[in-house]
Amino acid sequence: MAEANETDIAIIGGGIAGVASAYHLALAGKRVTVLEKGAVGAQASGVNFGGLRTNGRAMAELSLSLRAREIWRKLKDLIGHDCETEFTGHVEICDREDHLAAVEKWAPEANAFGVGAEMLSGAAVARRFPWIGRRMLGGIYVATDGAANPRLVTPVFARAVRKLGVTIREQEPVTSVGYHNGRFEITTGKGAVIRSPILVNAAGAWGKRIAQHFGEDYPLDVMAPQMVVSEPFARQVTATVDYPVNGRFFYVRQISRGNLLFGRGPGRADLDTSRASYVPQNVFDASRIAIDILPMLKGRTFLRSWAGVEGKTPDSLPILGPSPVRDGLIHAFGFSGHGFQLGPATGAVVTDLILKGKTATDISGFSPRRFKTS
Amino acid sequence: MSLEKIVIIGSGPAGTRAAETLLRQGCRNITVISEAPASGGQIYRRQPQGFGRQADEIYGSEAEKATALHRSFDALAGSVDYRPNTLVWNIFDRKVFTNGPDGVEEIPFDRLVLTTGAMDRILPVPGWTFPGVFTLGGAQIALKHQACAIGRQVVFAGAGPLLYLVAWQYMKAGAHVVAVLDTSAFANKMAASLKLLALPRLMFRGLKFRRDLKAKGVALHEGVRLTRIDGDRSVTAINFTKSGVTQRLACDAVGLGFGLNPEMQIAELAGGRTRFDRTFRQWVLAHDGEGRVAEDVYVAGDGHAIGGADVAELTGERAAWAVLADLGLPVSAERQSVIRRALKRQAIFRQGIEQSFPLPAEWLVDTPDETILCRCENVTFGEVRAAITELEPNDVNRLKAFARPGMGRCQGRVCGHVLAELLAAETGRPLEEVGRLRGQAPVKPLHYKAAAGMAEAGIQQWLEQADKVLENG
Amino acid sequence: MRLGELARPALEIKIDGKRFACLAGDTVLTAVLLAGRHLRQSEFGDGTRAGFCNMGACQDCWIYRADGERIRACTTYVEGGMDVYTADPQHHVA
Repeated sequence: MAEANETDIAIIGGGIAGVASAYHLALAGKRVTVLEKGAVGAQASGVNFGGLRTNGRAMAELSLSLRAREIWRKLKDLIGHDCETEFTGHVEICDREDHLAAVEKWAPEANAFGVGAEMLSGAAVARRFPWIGRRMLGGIYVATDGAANPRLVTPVFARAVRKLGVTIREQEPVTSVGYHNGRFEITTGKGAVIRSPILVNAAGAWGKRIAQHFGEDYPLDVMAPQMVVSEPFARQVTATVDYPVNGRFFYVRQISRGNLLFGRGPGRADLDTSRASYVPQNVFDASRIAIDILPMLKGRTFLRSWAGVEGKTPDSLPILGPSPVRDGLIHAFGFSGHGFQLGPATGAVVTDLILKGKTATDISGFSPRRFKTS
Repeated sequence: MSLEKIVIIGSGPAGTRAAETLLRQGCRNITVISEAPASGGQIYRRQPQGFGRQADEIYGSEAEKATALHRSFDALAGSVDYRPNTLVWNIFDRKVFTNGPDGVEEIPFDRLVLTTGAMDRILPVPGWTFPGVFTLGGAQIALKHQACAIGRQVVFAGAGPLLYLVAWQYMKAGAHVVAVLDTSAFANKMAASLKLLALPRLMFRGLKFRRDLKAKGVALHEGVRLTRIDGDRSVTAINFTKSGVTQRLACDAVGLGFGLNPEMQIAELAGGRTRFDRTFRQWVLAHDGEGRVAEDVYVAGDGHAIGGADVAELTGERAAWAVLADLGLPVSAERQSVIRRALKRQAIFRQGIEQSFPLPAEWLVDTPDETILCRCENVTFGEVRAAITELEPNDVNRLKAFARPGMGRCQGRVCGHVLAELLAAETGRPLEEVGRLRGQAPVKPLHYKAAAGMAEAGIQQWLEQADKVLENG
Repeated sequence: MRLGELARPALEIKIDGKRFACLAGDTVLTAVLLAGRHLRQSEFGDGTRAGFCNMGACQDCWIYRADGERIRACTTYVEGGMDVYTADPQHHVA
C-alpha cells in the first residue's frame, strides 16, 4: 500500500505549529500527512501557560505575532470551538528604572507595528489593577492580548484538520528521514513509509534531530516551562501579569473558573524520555513572588505543578524558513517558549512559503541561515 | 549497624513494623514522617487526647492488635526522628519534601520506605455529593476518632468487608443503622467461600457481623443496584433496585464505598513502577516480591496493594528486611519465610474478598449525564462523555486534560479510576490500556505561604530593593 | 451526631460569625457539621458540601479562617475562640 502513503506535504510534529500548518495547507487543497510521535499537542503546545501575548515580544517576532493575533480572534469560526480564548489584556509591571526604560523604548517601536501598547504610570497600575499588592514604577499594557486553554487548542485544531481530509498519524515516531529521487522518504516506528515532495520540520524540541538527518546542526537547547495551578477562588486577577524578578519573568493569570496559573523557570527536560520535571525550587521562589504581588494568595493553596519540553535557540527566536541545504524542506521549530501564541500564524507562514515561495510576514529574524549548521 | 538515612513515610501498621524491624536490626538514622498527629494509621487510628473509650470499644475484636501496634510505635518513637503532623508532598532528586509544623523542609534520604495507605474506592451515584454522604472509611473515622455518627439514620451502601464492619461498629456504638445495601449478590460470596476459608477467623467474623446486624433488625439487601441519593440541602433518602424492584429508604446519611484504592502518588513521584492487577481491577505498585519498587525505594501496606492491616504489618516488616539485605546487614531468613507463608494465605483470602465483592463498574455506562463525576472540579459524566466522543483521548491523562476531571484538589484520588472505567467502557478498550492518572506534586494542596518560606534569598532581596526604589522615587 | 465522649472540656468557636459550642478534641469538620448540616458551598454552583473521606485524602472540606487562611476541616482540631467561615471571608457581607 505504498500508494496510500504518497502525500503532497509531510509534516513532522503534531504540535500547534505542525497542526496549524496542516490546517492552512489543507484549506488550500493540499494533501497533507502529519506525523506525531505521541499525541497531538501533548508537549510544549499543550502544557504551556496559554498566554496570547504580543506585549513585550522581540521586535523580530512582532510581525508574526500580530498575524497570529488576528487568527486567534476568529478561532471559533476557524475550528468550531473557542478553546476558552479570552482577551482580558496583558500587563508587564516594572519596579526598576532600567526595566521601565526598556519598555518605554519598546512601546513606540512596537506600536509602529500596530501592537497598541499603552504605557502606565505607577499610579495607573495601582488604579487599573487594584489587586496587585505592590507599588510599581509603571507598566505597559496591551488590552487586546489574552489567553486560551492550551490543552484544548491543538487537539481541537487537529479535529478540524482531520475534517479537512488531513491524515494525522499519532503514536508514530519518525525513525528515519531521507531524500530520494526528488522526494522525502519518512519511515515511522510502525514501519510505515511516507513519501512527499515537501517536508515541514515542526518537531519542536526534537526539530534539531530531524534537521540532523539532512546534515544541518542547529544550536538548539532544551528547556522545560514550569507551571503551577491554584485552587479556584472568585476571579480577581483580571489581566495576565508579567513581572521580572532577578532576570526571570514570573507570569500569572486567573482563568474564568477561578484557578490561578503561574509560571517561572527554569526546569529540567529530557528529550529521550519526552519528560520534563518541575523543579521544586521554582515553586518556592514563585510562591514568594506570588504572595507579594497578589496578596489575596496569602492564605490560599496551590494544587498541582507540571512541566513541558520545549526547544530553545541561543537568541530565543524560532528557526522558521526554508532549509539552506535541502529544497522542499521547511523548518518551523525552536520557538523557545513563545510558540503557542505564534502557532496559528506559523502555520500560515509555512503555507505561504510552500505555495508561493515567499510570505508577507516579516520572518527575517528567524532565518535558519543565521546559525552555522555544519 | 548502619547510619544510612532511611526515611519511612507513614506510621500505620506497615510503617510501624518497618521502623521497628530496622531499628532492632541496627539502623540508627531513621526518620518517620506521618501526616497524622499520632501513629496507628487509619485502621488503628487513635482518638484525640481527652477521649476516654477503651481500646475494645474502638477497635472491637482487633483491640489487641491495635494496642500492640501502638505500644510498638510508642517504644520506638524516641529512637527515631519522628515527625507527626507532617505532609510529604513531593519526592525529587532523592529528597523528601515535607510541610509540617515548621513549614516546608527538604529531607535527603539514602533509602525510602513508603507506607502511604489507601482511601475508599468510590463509584459515583447520582446525588453522591450531597452533605451527609461520606465514604465508608470516613464514616468509620467519625466513630473511632470523634465518637460521632455521620447521621441519625444511616444507610451503608456499596461493596466490600468494610461495609458490614462499619455498619456493625455503628450498631454497637448505639447509632441507628437503617440498612446495609450490598451491591454484590449472596451467590458471589458463596462462590468465594473456599478462598475465604484461608483465614477462617476473618471469614467467621464477617458472618458474625451479618448475624448481629440482622438480629438487631438492620435490613440487609444484597445484589442491589444503587440508583440515586435524594437530597435537598443534605441527604433525605437513597434509592436502589433489587430484582428489578425499586425501593426507597429515608435516611439522613450514607456511608458509601467499594473497597479501597492504594495511595500511590508519592511512590510514583519516587519513580515507583505500577502494574494493573486484573483480580483487584486496579493499579498497584510493581515491586520485586520483597517490596523494592525503584532504586532505594521500598513499599508496604495498603499503599502498595490492598491487603488490610495484617498484610500491612507483614509487608512493613518485609520491606525492612529488604532494606537490611541491601544495606548488607544480617537478615532473618526464618522471619522472611514466615512472612511469605502468611502472605500467601492472605493473598488467597484477598482473592476471595475480591470475588465476594466485585466492583460493579458496569453501572457507569448508564450513569446519567448530569451526575457529577469529579467532585473537586464539578465535571459531570456528560461532559466527560462529550470529551471522549469529540476529542478521542487515548488515555485518562489526556481525558483529564480535555475535560478537567481529576484536576482539582484531590488530584483524581476519588475519580481517577472512575474516569478510566468510563473511558474503557465507552470506547470498548481494556481497562489497563487507558492508563491511570499520573501523580503530580504537590500530592495534596500546599499553602503558598509555606512554599514561600523556602524561596532563595535573592527573591527577598529583589523585593526589598524594589521597596527602596519606590521610596526614593 | 455524638455517640459519647461528652466529658471533654467545652469550647466555643465562631462559624460564619455566630458562636457555637463544641468540645476539645473535635475536628473543625465535626464542630461545623454538628452546628449545621453542611460545611461549604462548591465553587462551581453545584450546591453545598460537607466533606467526604474524613481522612485528609479527598480535600473536599477546605474552609476558611477569618484571616482568609485555608484549613482542611477534617484534619484540623478546634481551638477555643477559633473563627471559621464556610465561604470566603474576603467576599463575606458583614
